[in-house]
Amino acid sequence: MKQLLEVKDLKTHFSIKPENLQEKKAVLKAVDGVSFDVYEGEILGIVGESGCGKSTLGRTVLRLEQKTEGLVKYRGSDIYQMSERELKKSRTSMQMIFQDPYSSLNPRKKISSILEQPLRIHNALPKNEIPGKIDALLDEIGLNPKYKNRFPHQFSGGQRQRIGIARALALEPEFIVCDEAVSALDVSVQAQILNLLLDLQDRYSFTYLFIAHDLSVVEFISNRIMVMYLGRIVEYSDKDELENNHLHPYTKALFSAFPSTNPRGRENRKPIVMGDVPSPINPPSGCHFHPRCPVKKDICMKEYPEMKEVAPGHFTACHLY
Amino acid sequence: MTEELKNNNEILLSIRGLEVNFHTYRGIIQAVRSVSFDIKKGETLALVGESGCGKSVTAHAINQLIPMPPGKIDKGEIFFEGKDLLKLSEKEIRAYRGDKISMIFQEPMTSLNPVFKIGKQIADVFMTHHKISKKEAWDRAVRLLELVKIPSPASRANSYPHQLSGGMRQRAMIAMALASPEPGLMIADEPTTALDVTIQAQILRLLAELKAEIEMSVLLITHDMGVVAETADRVVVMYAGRKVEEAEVHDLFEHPGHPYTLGLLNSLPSNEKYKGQTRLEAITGQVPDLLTIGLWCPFENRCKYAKDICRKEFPEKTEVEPGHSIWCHQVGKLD
Repeated sequence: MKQLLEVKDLKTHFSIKPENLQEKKAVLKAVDGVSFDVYEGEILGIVGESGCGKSTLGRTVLRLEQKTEGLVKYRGSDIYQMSERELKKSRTSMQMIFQDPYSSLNPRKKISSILEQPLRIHNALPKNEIPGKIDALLDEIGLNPKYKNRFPHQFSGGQRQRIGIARALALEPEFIVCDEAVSALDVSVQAQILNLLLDLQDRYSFTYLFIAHDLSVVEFISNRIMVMYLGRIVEYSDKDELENNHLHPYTKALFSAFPSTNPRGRENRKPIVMGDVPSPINPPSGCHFHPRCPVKKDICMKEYPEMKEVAPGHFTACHLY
Repeated sequence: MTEELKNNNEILLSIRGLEVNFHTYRGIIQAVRSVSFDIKKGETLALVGESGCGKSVTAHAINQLIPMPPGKIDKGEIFFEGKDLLKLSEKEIRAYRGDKISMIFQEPMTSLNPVFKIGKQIADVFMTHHKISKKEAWDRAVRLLELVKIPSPASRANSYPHQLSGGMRQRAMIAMALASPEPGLMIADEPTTALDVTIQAQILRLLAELKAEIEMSVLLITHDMGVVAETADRVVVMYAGRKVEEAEVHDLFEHPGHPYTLGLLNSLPSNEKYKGQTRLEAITGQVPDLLTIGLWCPFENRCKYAKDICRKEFPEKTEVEPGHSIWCHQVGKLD
């Protein structure tokens, strides 16, 4: 498989304003040294709990957020070295689907003008071809083109998410970051949208970076999965390998915490991990997971473990392996 | 009806033919339509459905927490310990709220008061319902925080809600719901929806442990079939204001009888049948508008089994097994 995106040691830090004069300026390390590759045509899932930096990672990869350190290469060229003009050009091939279909569509614009905007900004089509393209886009995502003169509030959540997808498709991209694209939807609608994303991928061989907190959704849609915890990747591998042979204690915690949809056997529940997710402003020393880890050793409090390949294509950062 | 319920010691709460409408400027929204069910003593009943199905409105009708107006309980009876709660005055219902019928809300940050210490907020519940001193109430609050496994409860009682994490806040809310000496019914309205999955697992376990310790019934409102599978004894499935299926939890997951229940289970990517599959069996279409909804089966427009009769009238109840009822014209005809 051909490499599409290369991310190396990426860091995105935010400085937090002190609340009073005594306080020092704090740094929130949302993404703190993340490396991975995305291959053409794959669906790479990123799963983690709130505050683990998965959304910031998705945004930094598209240069919607400024990186602090590290490298993001798209088809071999560093997107942080690009000039404004080059960046704008590359944006046509990298798009994003946002989480909240309510706040990501301008409430004062008709659907046709929301979908028209990317085409106009990038001069992608001659003016007279735009209406035809909009009809085609709406048709593609399963909305009747006759609704194109309606406003976002006239649609349900699922339909709005379809419009958000149509907007991402407008420029015929090859790489799409889906940031919690189905999280705000009811489960029956969520299933429709997941199917739609997969159908579109079949048709146009998109590459998705699929970010979500819902393990079952990520497991279903992805080819490979990365698990994030407090700004770092703790484990990644092929989906099947991760399902059957997850090694990192946090991945194990995530799998056992996820409610099964089979009520049988709930009496002999698996052990669950206690404690809260620490603040990313002042993460624990050593391995960030050690305060909650049931199998921690002395070294875990001192050193952050290195990422090791435990099986072909299966990496984990844990002192146990 | 009243006599029958008074004699039945098993049943704690009984909702009969509840109809709740919201009278808005656009018209009447029929949020809940002739919903009936019982909650037995000591059981966890899950009310499950998607947004707008009327599950929260049903639960809020019990405590009469529906904003009225625009809401209006147009019909129905809600018996709790033999008394019809809907016939009580505002003053009388207040004696039940927070005492015999307590509530956990979805978003602990907005349901706790940000300017009071959590110890004080829990102590307030005691002082509202019982004549005890401030000191005594505070001590009881600390004991409750210990019961819900908040570390160092004595000092945590002095914290303000914003100083606690999401999971801790939800624990504090549960402590508050337990503040009555014998909580009869705890209504948990999406208690874990705002939480991360590892924290959700902790809270669900806590609720299970508390239920084993204290004899209480739980009415669990949720949209998450996973949470239902983990906690419920019995399940009522609601769709567009109607009750469409009621069953014991194992029956529901193993033999779903209503096309909507089946569709809901099939929509879950975690469903075991999707191992190695690349598409989900999604329910097509969308929920009908509650303003214009007709008297027939509300699922008719999305149902692949729908026949002419489904567009004419709402089906009668069919009891396929003792305790497993389905409201569908096509019962038994799904393959």
